[in-house]
Amino acid sequence: MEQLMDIEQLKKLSPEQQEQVILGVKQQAAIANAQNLITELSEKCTQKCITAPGSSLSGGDKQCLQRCMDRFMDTWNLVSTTLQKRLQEEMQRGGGMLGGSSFS
Amino acid sequence: MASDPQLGRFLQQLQAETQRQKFTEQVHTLTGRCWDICFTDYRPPSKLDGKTQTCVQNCVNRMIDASNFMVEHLQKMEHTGAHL
Repeated sequence: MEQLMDIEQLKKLSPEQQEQVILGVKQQAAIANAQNLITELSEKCTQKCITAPGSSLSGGDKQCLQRCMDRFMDTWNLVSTTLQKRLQEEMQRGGGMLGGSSFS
Repeated sequence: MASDPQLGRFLQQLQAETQRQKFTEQVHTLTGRCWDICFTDYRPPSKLDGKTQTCVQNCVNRMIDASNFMVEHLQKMEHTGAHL
């Protein structure tokens, strides 16, 4: 994201245009995040639930998919709060992750 | 930073969005990894039980520890003149 716009260009924007840029960035991020989440969710849950495909989607498969999606979202939220807490602790300790450790 | 306060605010907002996005991407990666580690049962449970919750929390923290540890080790390797 850093290299997309240079500072001289940003300086020329009117306040209204600045607002538009922020709005655009937020919207793009929201779309990208939703897409990523859906991709991951369907990958993890089909992997777990569609292990022996029959001639139709069974009741058990459906229940599994439903639970899997619910648990995956629970996990997402728990990871989010846990990571946030950890980052706050590291900030207070004043070091460690300031460069932003990356898990790629 | 910028002398123009309006521009300064704008840049700050942009930076905040970048940070937020970085955070979300980390949550994404960690969720994928910790899901694989903590949900090993044949079928997902009907509820997120305490044991699994602890597993996820530990998973997140240990992944960060591991990442920090490896960064430190890489720095040490650099000092001792290892060739990358």
